[in-house]
Amino acid sequence: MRKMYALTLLLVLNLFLAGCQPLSIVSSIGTSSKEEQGYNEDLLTMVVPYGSGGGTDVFARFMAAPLSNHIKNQPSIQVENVPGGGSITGTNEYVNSYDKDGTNLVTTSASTHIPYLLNQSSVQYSFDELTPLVGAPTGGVVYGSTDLNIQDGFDLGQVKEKLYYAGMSPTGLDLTTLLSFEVLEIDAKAVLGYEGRGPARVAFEQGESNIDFQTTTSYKQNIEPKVENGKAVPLYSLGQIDENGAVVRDPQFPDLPTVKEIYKELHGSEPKGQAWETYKHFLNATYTLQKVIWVHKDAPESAKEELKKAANQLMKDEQFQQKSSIILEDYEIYSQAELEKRIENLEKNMNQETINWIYDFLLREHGVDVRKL
Amino acid sequence: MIESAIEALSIVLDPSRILFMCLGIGLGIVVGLLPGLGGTVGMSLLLPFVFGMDPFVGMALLIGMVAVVHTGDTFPSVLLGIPGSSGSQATIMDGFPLAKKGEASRAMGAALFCSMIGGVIGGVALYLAIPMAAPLITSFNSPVLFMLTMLGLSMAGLLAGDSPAKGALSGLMGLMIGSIGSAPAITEYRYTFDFLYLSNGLSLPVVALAIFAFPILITMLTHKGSVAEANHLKGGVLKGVGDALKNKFLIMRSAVLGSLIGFIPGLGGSVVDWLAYGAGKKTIRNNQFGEGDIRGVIAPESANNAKEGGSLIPTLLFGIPGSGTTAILLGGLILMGLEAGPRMLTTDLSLTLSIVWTLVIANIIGAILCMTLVKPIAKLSLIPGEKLVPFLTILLLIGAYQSNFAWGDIIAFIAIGLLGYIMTILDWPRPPLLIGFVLAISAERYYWISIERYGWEWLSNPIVISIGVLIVILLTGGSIMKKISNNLQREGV
Amino acid sequence: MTKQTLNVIFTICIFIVFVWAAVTALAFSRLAQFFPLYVSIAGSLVSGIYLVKEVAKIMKQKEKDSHPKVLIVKPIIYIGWIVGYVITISLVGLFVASTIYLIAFLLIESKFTFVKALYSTGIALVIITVLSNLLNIAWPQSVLLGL
Repeated sequence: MRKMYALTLLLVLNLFLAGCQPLSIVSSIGTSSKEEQGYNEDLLTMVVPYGSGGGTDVFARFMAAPLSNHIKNQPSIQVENVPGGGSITGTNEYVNSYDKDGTNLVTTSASTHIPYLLNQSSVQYSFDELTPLVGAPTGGVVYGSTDLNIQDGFDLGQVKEKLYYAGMSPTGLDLTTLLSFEVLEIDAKAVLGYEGRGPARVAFEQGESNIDFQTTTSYKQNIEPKVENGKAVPLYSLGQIDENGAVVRDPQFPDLPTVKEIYKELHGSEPKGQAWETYKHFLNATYTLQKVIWVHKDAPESAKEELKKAANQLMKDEQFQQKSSIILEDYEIYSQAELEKRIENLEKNMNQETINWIYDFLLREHGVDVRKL
Repeated sequence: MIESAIEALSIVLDPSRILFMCLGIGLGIVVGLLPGLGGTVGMSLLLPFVFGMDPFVGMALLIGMVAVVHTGDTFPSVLLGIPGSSGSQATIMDGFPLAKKGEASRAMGAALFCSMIGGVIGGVALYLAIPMAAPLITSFNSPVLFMLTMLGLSMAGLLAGDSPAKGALSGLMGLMIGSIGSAPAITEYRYTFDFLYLSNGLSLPVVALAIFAFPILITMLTHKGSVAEANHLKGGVLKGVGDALKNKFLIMRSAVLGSLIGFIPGLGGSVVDWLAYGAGKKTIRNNQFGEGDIRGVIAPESANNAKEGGSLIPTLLFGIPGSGTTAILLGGLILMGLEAGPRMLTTDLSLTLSIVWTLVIANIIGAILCMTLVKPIAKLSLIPGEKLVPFLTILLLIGAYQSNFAWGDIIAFIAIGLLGYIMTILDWPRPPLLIGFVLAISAERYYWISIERYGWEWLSNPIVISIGVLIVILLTGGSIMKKISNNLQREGV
Repeated sequence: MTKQTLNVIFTICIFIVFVWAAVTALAFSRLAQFFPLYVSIAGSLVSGIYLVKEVAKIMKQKEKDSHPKVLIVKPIIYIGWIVGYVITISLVGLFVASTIYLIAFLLIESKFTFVKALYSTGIALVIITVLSNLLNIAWPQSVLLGL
């Protein structure tokens, strides 16, 4: 009989635990109603539209604590992974079903931005309805095999061997590199379908490909030793987009020429035309603005102000700067105002002409019909 | 390197690290034990905690967990015929029939002992492979990887059972289910009916649970009665250990096979247990694989723990994750301020070696811990189906939901589960379907890359040709042998 | 229904699915097409041949009673339980649905006494809740109530 009492106790306890969930819903309704008194949360949710452990997830988890330190009340920021659909599922869910009361943030990455820029039909989110808080760039370096018998990117015109490029998918991060080939008129055969940048790098080492790119950290970790051993040659960096929309050298690779400089050397004139405009547009969205933390634009002003303020203070936080060097690959995050301006520029550059050109490019060169996606 | 290995051992044996390793082991056994949860869930659970941790402590925690998942997952595979994680599917084939005979403890004893030895061998393989990892990994080009997936698929033929047509169809169905979602070479959604859920394809844990666990739920109810047909349990853990000791070479072979396959990036560790099972079935004479042969438990269990050691090689040295678990491990490394890559062999060598030690020690502790649990848990096989099933149903549905946290997981679980149930009652073999599903993407990917990169030239690659010959021998050898034995039988009658 | 008949019906279904998959694959772009097309054509062929063989086998047989029958009603009832449980989750969330499902199942199918069913349910729910909290496991959410 005593056993029964213990069980009853457990049962009651459990019902209580279960009861807590509706309670927390009630309490959150409570807080949103006193919104006028200011932003005073103790728990924020950070939606990550990728699975645990990936680059974006790690970035979001890393940023959560320092960001919270600068928000009033220092709320704990809980990361919620909503994987699937190549990050479209989670981001759609963020704009559709999460409360727009300033308690929910979302972290996006290049592979969230590309489907939006391509206007894919499954995308239900838009940069218009999101306010950027924190943004961080990454860089990319294109390098080649020493078998190509060239010294640097300026010699690309003299390559005699057939170029093979190993990549994942024409509508992922590879797109920017493929566009740089298009601008430079490099005739590389793109073999797509590799599982990731890692396997693509192994393909390069095997000789399955002879021109490849890696993002900043991976390049420094894996390719720079090869360059020293004479097994790889850096060709050019993809560059970064500055506030005025021009391509500049990557601060992490100040000695490497950008696509623009290579073009000038090869053709004797500044690059122009639709391919070049599209390249800049995608470079901006996939590298310069590689990772962005947003809050929904419909959040109360007080909440947005508080979050923006916190994001700005992050820039001056010396402790953060020291600890963040690995995650941010030694780049610096943007100030909130700068970030907002960059997103605005990005939106402005999105026009039907660019979209038509990229649709045509993908269909012609890689057999992808974006209209069907 | 031996000196640094001893130094690493002293680092690992630091009490605080041992404590965290034991925490990891505990979690690893629990997620292994619960159907549907596996290393991936354990990893994502631990990830927030390793943030900013001392790398040695953090790795003790993570590797301690990874090492024993395939030790803990043996319980549901043997006792209920439900894969505890996607790495222990082949254990079901003979473990479950043994449990039906009331010999669950014996099967568990053998399985746990083999898990332990396999895990230790995996750790040793990791240690030995360190100096020669780089040239080895780069020796697998896409055509070779394609042929290896074909070798894996032909293993499905070995597991086809009596009717080759049913086996082939089952494998083809698996390939078909595997081709749902985005194609590897191009973002185009196939057979998704405009559901975003399907655009990344179905998840392995969902399909594995559906195809094996769902039919069990129904058959346990329709047949009324417990798993064990005998009403008392025969044989103890020690008998199983004895069985395992009698098959030392099988353990060795399977473990080496396991670590080798884990080591090949891109093949996916999820078929390791099937390959070891198939290889055992092929090479052991007079076996009754599929009807409760203890060796059918020994082969996959030795291989699946050994795989973890192998799969850490491409992960740590190249930053190429071989599985979902190791993909998260890479994220964990970054959160601890490290980066996978060649540096793991130079500046961070002591960390790499501490991982080897953690693997070895965690496998031993984990197996011993599980052995003490066998006796109480084995009684599950005596509980009547109608009393066990409702609780299992809840557990399985929650387990399936952990793949993507989406309703699609549950709907897919039921839909594929129904397919699995029909296949069960009609005696269609289910393992080929699963192997087909796992290998579908790799097969498509490497076939496409081979053709696109080399044209038809790749067919003349000597390694490709030798694997091809091996496949032909494997497939025809079986039927020829069967014919001979059938003839002999007929003559005998 | 005999096992053999069901086998034929099942094979017909598989055949139809493979043929449908092959036809659908024709509309894919070249890069996405080759693999599903190869697989589905192979599948249609093998299932077609197997089907013909099976039907021929049945035609040859005279007496049909000797074949084992398959259970139909019972499995459907039990599958119904699972589907019903899932639908309940979608309506009222996992916690309430599990309570209802467990109590109902234990009373009706397992023939537990009311008290015993109540306590078994209670223990199961405690374990699920505790495990979920410890392992940070997500629960299926109710589509309607968002619980």
